[in-house]
Amino acid sequence: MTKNGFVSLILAAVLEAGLIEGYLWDSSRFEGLFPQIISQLSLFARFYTIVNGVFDVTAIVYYLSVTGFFLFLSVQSLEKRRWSE
Amino acid sequence: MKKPNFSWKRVADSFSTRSFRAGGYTVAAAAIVLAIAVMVNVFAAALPASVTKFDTTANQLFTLSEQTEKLVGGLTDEVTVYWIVRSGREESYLESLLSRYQSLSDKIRVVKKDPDVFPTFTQQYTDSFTENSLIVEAGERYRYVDYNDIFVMDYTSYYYYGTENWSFCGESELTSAIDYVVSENLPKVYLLTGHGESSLSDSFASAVKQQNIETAELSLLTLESVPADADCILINAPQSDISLDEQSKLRGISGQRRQSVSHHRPAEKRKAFQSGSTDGRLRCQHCGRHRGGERPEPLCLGHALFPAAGHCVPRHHHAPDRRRLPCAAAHFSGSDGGG
Repeated sequence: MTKNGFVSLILAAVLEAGLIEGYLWDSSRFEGLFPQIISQLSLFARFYTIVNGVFDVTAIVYYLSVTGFFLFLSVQSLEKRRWSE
Repeated sequence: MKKPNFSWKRVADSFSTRSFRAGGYTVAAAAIVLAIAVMVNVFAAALPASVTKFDTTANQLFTLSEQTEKLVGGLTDEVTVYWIVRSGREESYLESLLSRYQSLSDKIRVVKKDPDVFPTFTQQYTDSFTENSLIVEAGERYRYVDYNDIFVMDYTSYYYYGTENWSFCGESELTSAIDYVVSENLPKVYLLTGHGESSLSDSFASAVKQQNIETAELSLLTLESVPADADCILINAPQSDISLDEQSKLRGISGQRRQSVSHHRPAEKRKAFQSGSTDGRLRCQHCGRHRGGERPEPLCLGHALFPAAGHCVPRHHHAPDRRRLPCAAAHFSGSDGGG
């Protein structure tokens, strides 16, 4: 979103350095990180916990935040009609 | 042929149009809302399991028993639980169980050990291991808890009816292991040998092990007297008579400690006991507790070994209650067994 390419380059370099630093410090935290993130996003995995008989508040929070986020995006795409040509 | 009218000027201008500003605002707002949503979820996930997870199952499958709460809540030593599992293969039941133990006490530390990353780690504890097994360690003592002891399949129903009935014994195994590693003095039972005594049945032996009672064989022919650390001597269905010499050695135990119990009982008593139970299950005469195992014995393990104690619990040290915890019966689908 920045208009200055140089700023974005610096920002990327800093973030990348932080990532490499973190990897050198404790590489085991990066094990299977990507599948972990993806599975955290799974809508059904949390539902199965509830099916198994555990009322999990974190799942409710997750569903509400997903609902809220996509409602917000819907409002934004309706707003878009005002200014798009 | 039309030439593409590309110019840097046009690109630069596109950043200052009204639609870019409006679009930029939308993207920024969406990013902020997403960040807030992620933060709320991270915060919710960081809350202890006791606040966020409520057990609604009929038999409280996901709730820790009072004994566990007392034992783990009263821990004074650091207990490390190594969870032998490859990344991404974590058994979800085990994961939630361990998180509930951790929320009980800050003395419990759970460390995941990936056998691919640390291939030699388990060798100092066990010869072979199954994935999703646990090693409980405190100071010098440790115990290896195998996956197949945590998730127990009923083979009878599998072979006769083809249904996979799994029991989850994670809590009883883990609590027993923690009790074992933090206990300094374990009650010791000597098994008398030399008269054709039968060995302990599998279910009895596993019950003894789970109650953290040490067992050792005792041959009175070679010893001067009964060892001083014997809390109990088990004479399990001897086939031949005990000699006078051995008898005097057994009688030599001081009156207070003399609590040896014969495991052998006449058939009429067994029958009377069996018919006495109302629901067809075997109950202890003293406490009414169901007897585990297939052998019809009138006493539960605690009473059989320590009849003078008024309850099933052999001895107290800091562990409040050493009864065998029941395994929660659950039906698992066969596929999510892991490993």
